[in-house]
Amino acid sequence: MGSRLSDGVYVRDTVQITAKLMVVGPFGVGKTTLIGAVSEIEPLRTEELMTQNGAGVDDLTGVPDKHSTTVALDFGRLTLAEDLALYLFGTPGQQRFTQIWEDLSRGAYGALVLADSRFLDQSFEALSLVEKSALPHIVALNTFPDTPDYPGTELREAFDLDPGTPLITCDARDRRSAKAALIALVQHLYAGHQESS
Amino acid sequence: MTHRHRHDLVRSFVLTGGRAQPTGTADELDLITMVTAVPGKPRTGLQPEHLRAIDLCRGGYLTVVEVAGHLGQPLTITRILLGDLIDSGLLSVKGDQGDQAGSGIGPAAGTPAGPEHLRTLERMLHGLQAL
Repeated sequence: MGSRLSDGVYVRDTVQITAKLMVVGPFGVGKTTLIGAVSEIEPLRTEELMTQNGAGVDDLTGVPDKHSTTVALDFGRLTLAEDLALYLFGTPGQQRFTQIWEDLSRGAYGALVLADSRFLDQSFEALSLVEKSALPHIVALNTFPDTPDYPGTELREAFDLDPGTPLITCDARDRRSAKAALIALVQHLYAGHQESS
Repeated sequence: MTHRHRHDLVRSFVLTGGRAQPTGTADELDLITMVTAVPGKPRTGLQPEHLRAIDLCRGGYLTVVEVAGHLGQPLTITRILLGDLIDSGLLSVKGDQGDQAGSGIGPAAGTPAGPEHLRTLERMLHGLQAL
């Protein structure tokens, strides 16, 4: 314990800018898999405590012990230029932990909302939280071997997606596919920024 | 969401002297702020968890969230610990964290905007495409 970590674990010395994107969706949807597929470090996990601050805001009904409630955060890193490192923050996005979501997503450029087409409704909560926080986002359907093949319009209707919000499919296990999902997100964010500036 | 054992949490709060909320320097620490150990500082009187945090940061820069991940401590506790170490001059923060939108509460709190962010997004895009 207490020893230094291996060299690759550290942020490259030349990095001056750190940026962050959120990856949101229910447990088992593939957030950590997607982050692991593109991250240059082994994805790490930490957690945020439900604080008294948040307790006033959130509905804690049904939470057995509010003092020991935490929200998990899985994250990875991609150094995208000499001076630029991107962090991917994966978290469930539960409505009853809105305060923690706001803390974790503060300063993020945008969010990739992950959904499993076998259990679409499980992603509604995360999507609605992202929409409420007005964080620009796209929805990515993580495809599994037994994924039903819905037409895009049906999916958009199921999510009640704003016409301007892109809906894509990806395979979170596949590096190229995970990368393509992030590219689609950043393209969407870039287009949004161009419009507003 | 997970449920931690109460004694883990008690231990965590002992590390922070009972503080549950970051204040001052700790409160200003963003999760992707980079920190590193300042060499040649005396290490006397520090708790083991402070020493671990310093040792982790001796090999280069790590962001606050990475320190939390390696320490196995919640983010809040890590920010308080790192804030103490920065205040005592044992850790330093990397210069300009200019790309972080910083503070603000409410809808779209801190979502980056402005020409420099457009430039960052563009570079992010090129970086991802080149991976």
